[in-house]
Amino acid sequence: VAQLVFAAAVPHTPYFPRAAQEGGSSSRVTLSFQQVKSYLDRAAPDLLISLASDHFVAFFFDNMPTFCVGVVDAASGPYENSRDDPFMPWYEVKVNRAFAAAFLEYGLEAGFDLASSEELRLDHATLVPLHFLTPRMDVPIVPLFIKGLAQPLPTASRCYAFGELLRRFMDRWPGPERIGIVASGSLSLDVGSPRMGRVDHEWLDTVVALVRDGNAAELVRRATPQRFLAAGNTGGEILNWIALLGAVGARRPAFIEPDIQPPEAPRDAHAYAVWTMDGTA
Amino acid sequence: MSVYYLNKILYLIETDREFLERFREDTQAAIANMPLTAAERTALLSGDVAGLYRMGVHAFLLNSLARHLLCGLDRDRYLERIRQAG
Repeated sequence: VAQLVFAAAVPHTPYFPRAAQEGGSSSRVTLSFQQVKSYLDRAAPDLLISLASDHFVAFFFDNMPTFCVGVVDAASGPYENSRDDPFMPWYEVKVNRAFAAAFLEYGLEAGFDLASSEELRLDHATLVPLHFLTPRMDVPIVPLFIKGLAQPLPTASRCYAFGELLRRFMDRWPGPERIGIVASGSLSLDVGSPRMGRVDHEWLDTVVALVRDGNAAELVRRATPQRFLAAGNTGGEILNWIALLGAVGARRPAFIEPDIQPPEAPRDAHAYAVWTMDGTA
Repeated sequence: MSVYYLNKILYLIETDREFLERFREDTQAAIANMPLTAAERTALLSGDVAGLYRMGVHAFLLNSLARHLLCGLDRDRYLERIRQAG
């Protein structure tokens, strides 16, 4: 049977591929992703569940799913015209379509009214983490989307339940996969708003402390839209972290490391975290 | 209010390369068929991002004007103007 062997939550900041290249092997971005990757390589998953929020690339207001499963054979990107930069390659990644299709059905049967997409454009939120963690794109993914930018947003408790649903499905999936989860999102970042450039240290500290303690229930309670949107207009990306917590259960991460970038002009507060599933740190 | 179509223009700028090129070459023509109010059209053409923000345009989408150096904007001018809406 399938086994959950690894989970990580990381930022997906679009300029990180450039920052890592320019900053070299000692840059914070490079070292942080390397640390996550070392755990991933040891766990050796052969399927990665991607939990990310679309940034108006796959979906727009004409048709805006709250929870969506990508049921495709493969997906590529990043499709944003502004991501046309020499530091971020164009990627195509295989999708485990059978797993995705079965999860969609399982959700609907369980009363979780998931949407699905059979033609999917990936953006940096899915691909920047993979760029650092599986740069050969040799591990198939299942792309899952939680609405995190286009309000109104789903509640934290519903996103936690979505993670629990995912875990129940994994535990009964008959395939031989070693499964990893990668949740993608910053914790305090404003893009394009009048508050751009401000960082909410209090929210970053709160989230990191609660995640470190394995206190998902308290995080779910505190992660109201009022609170996480006060931390930044991309604050809803924490919902991907919360879904991950629903899947891994009440357990402490092997590590969680907060970071604020760029060092010379802080505007993006986030964290890197890894959960190992055999209890070792 | 046709904020939906303002958002849609910004979405197309980021995801439709042909539209981006048309918008860059002749902005008025590129948006001619979009059902915008006169105020919305003027705000967009003049790069009045504070005005567009107050109309309810999504800030993440709005930022595409700065990313692609459109409507007379660059990073610094965008920041200076958007802060007027804060």
